[in-house]
Amino acid sequence: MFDLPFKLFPPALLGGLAIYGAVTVLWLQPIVESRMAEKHLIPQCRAVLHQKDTARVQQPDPERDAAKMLLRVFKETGMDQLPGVSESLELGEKILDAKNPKRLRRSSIVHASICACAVDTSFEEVGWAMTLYVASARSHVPASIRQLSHTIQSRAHSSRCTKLSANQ
Amino acid sequence: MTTYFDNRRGLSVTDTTFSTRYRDEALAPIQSVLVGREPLWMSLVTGIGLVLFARQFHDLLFWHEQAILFALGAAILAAGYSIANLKVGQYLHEKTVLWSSIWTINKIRRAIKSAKQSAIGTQTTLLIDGANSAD
Repeated sequence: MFDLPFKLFPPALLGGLAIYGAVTVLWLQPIVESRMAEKHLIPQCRAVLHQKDTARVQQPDPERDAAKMLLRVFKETGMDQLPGVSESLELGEKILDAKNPKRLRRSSIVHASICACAVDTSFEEVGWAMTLYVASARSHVPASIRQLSHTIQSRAHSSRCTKLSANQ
Repeated sequence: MTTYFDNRRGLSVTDTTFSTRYRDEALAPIQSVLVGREPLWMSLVTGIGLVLFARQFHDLLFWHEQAILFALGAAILAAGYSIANLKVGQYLHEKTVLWSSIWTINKIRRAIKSAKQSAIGTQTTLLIDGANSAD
């Protein structure tokens, strides 16, 4: 069974395939992976993470919003001109600010390292499919390569990569 | 003794002997002469692969990387086309005796063919002579 390729194809052709395979694994594939990561995958992943982070920080808080609106009404109606009220309103604003979610947005550096980790992990998972994709010069696109961006997003939320942000 | 090929660097074909730098081979037992193109097959896969890679992944490569890959692919193809080997021996039991450029290999092959044909012609003449002498 294993000698079938040697019967079908000239040994020199198979030797050429072996050389090209080695060149692909050792030289071409690392270039493609690093460039894909730099140019497309990491920026895409960072954009998604940034979008999610922003959405999380600006989560609506009905109680806080109602209190703020009440303070604004006091100010607009001139109640803050009354002695003692102005100080109370300022204090109220301070208390409300203190209630604001103080969850810091993760910096772009943290995003970059999480995304780099996610991309690296995803490439590890894809394995030989990537080699095939590179060796075939994009004529064969395996399913795992088509779903690479989804895999990266899921890895970006995995504990392996989010531990990085916790450490920083 | 007739010389059919001599490149003055140790390669020669006479009417009885095929000589390389380190080996002399009698022409009489040679039944089959083959030109091996293994380097061509190997270079076709590697060279075409590199050129296609440079073309298909142009969006991820710098221009100088593309140029290097194209040049390397072309050089591999040219080298694969130019290099060949000569196999001589019994039918289906040929052995590689020489690696050289395809042009040299083809010249030697033609020289061996001429020498063999000349030898066959001589043998035929001898037989006819023998038959004549028997008469």
